[in-house]
Amino acid sequence: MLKPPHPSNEPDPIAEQLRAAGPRSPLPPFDLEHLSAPALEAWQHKVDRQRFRRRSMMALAATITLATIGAWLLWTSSPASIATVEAYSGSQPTHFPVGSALGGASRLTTSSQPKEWLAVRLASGHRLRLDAGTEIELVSASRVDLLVGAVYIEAAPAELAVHAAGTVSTHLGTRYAVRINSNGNVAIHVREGHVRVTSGQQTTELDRGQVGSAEADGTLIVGAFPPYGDAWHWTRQAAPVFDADGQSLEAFLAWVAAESGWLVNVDPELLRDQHDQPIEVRGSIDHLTLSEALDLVLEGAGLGYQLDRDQLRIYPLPGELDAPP
Amino acid sequence: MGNEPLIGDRHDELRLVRRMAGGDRSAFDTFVATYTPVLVRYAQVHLRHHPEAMADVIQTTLVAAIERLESFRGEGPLGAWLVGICRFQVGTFLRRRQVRDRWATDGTIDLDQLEAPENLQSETLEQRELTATIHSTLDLLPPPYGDILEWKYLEELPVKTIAQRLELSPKAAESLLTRARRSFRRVFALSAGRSGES
Repeated sequence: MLKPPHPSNEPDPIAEQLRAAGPRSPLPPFDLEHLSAPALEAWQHKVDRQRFRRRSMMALAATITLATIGAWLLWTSSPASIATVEAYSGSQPTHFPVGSALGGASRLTTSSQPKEWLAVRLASGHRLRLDAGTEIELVSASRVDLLVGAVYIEAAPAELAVHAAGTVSTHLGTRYAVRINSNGNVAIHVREGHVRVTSGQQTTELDRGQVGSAEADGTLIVGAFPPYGDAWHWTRQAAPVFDADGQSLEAFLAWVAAESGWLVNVDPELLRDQHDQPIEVRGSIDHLTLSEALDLVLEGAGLGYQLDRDQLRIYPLPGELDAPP
Repeated sequence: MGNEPLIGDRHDELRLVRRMAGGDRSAFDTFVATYTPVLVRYAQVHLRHHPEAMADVIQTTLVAAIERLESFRGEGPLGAWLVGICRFQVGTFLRRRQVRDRWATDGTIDLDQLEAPENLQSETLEQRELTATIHSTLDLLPPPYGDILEWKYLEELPVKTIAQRLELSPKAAESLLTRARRSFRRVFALSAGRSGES
C-alpha cells in the first residue's frame, strides 16, 4: 500500500514525489479500436442481456396483467420454464442469450463449428453442457433426450434420465458425459460417482474411470476411460465462468477437481491462514486456463503442486515467493 | 463521441457509467477514449520490459471494468477505480510470468530461480508502482492541473511564468496551483489506496 502525501499545511512532499517519479513519458502509440474491441464485445453482450431481461420483465408484467383476467386458464395452458441458459459460446451471440428461460420440449442445437458450446441449468438443479454439433430435447426437468452429439451432466440430487439411441442413463450422484458416436453407438463416460445405464434388456452400473458403450443391438460393453485428460477438454470449455473472487481456497480446489477430474490431495491445514481462517481467493481467473488459474492461486497462497496422473498433490512452498533476496 | 469534461467530476462520471449501463454507445466510446490513455500510462511503467503484454493487460482491464461496472459507486474518481483494476491485471501478468519463469523444463520448481528476477524485487516494484500511480494521477486530474504541477515541480517554473502560460493573473495561477495540489492529494490517495484491489 502506498502512502498518500501529507496535508497541505506541512512541508509539501508533492515536489519530492513528482521529482522521484520524473516527468511523464510520451504515451506509446496505441490502437484504441484494437484495445477496446474485447470491451466493446463484452459491453454489447451485457447490454443485450439486460435488454432481454427487461423485455422478459415487461413480458412478465404483461402476463401478470393478463392474469387478472384469466389467471388460472393462462397458467394451466402455458409451458413452464424448466431450464435456464448459463453460458453460450458460438457464432450467433443472440441465439441463446444467457439467462433466458427454456420451456419443456425445447430443442437445443449447437452447430458443429469449433468453439460452439452451450451450458444450461435445469430447474431440478442439474447442469448440462452441450458439445459442438449436439442436439438435445429437454423433455422435462427430469428427462433429457440426446439426439446427436454429446452432453456432459453435473448431476444434482434429483433424478435425471438421459435417453440416447435406446439407452437410458440415470445417475447416482455424479458427473458424466453421454455421447452418440458417428457409428450410432452410445458412450457413457463417468468422471465421478456412479451411473446406471440400461440398454435393451441389459442394465449395469458404471463407476468413475469407466466407459459403457451401448451398441445398436443393445449390447453394453464396459471398459476403462480416464476421468481426466484431453478427452474432457470440451466440457471445460463449455463450462460457465467460475467467479473465484471471494471463494475459499477449498472451494476453488473443489472446482478444479470437478473441472479436471483430478483427485486433490491436500493437508486441510494448508487451506487455513495463520489465524485459522479459511484462505480466501481474491481476484479474477477469467480468461485463464485451468492450469494457469491453479498456478496463480496456489502461488498466491505460498503453495505448489505436483500432478501424477489424476492425483493432484498440494504442498507448501519453502518461504514467501515475493520475499526480497 | 462525447466531448463533455469528465475526469474527476463525480456526477459526470456516474452519469457516464449509467449511460453505459443503459446501452448508450456514445457513452461507451467516451469511456474508452477518455480512460484508455490513463491505463496505457499506468501499464507502460510496469510493463516496459514486456511491451508485448501491454495490449492484453489493457484489454483485460477494460473487459473486467465493463463486467463489474455496477460496482462503481462514485466514491472516488472513475479513473482511480480503473487504475485499481489495471493494477490487479498487471500484478496478475507479472505473477504468472514469474511462476512460468520458475518452472524448470522437467516440471519441477527451480528454487534458485525463486530468489528474485530483477523486475520483481519488491523495492523495484514499489518504486515502479509509485511512478505509475503518480503519472496516472497526473493524467486523471482535471486539466490543466497535471501540467501545472509538472511545470511547478519538475520544470521549477515560477508562478509568474505559469500565469503567463495560462494567460492568468499570478494570483489566479497561485489559486489554481493550490487547487491542483489538493486535487492531486485526493486522487493519489484514492489511487494508491486501491493497491491490490481487483
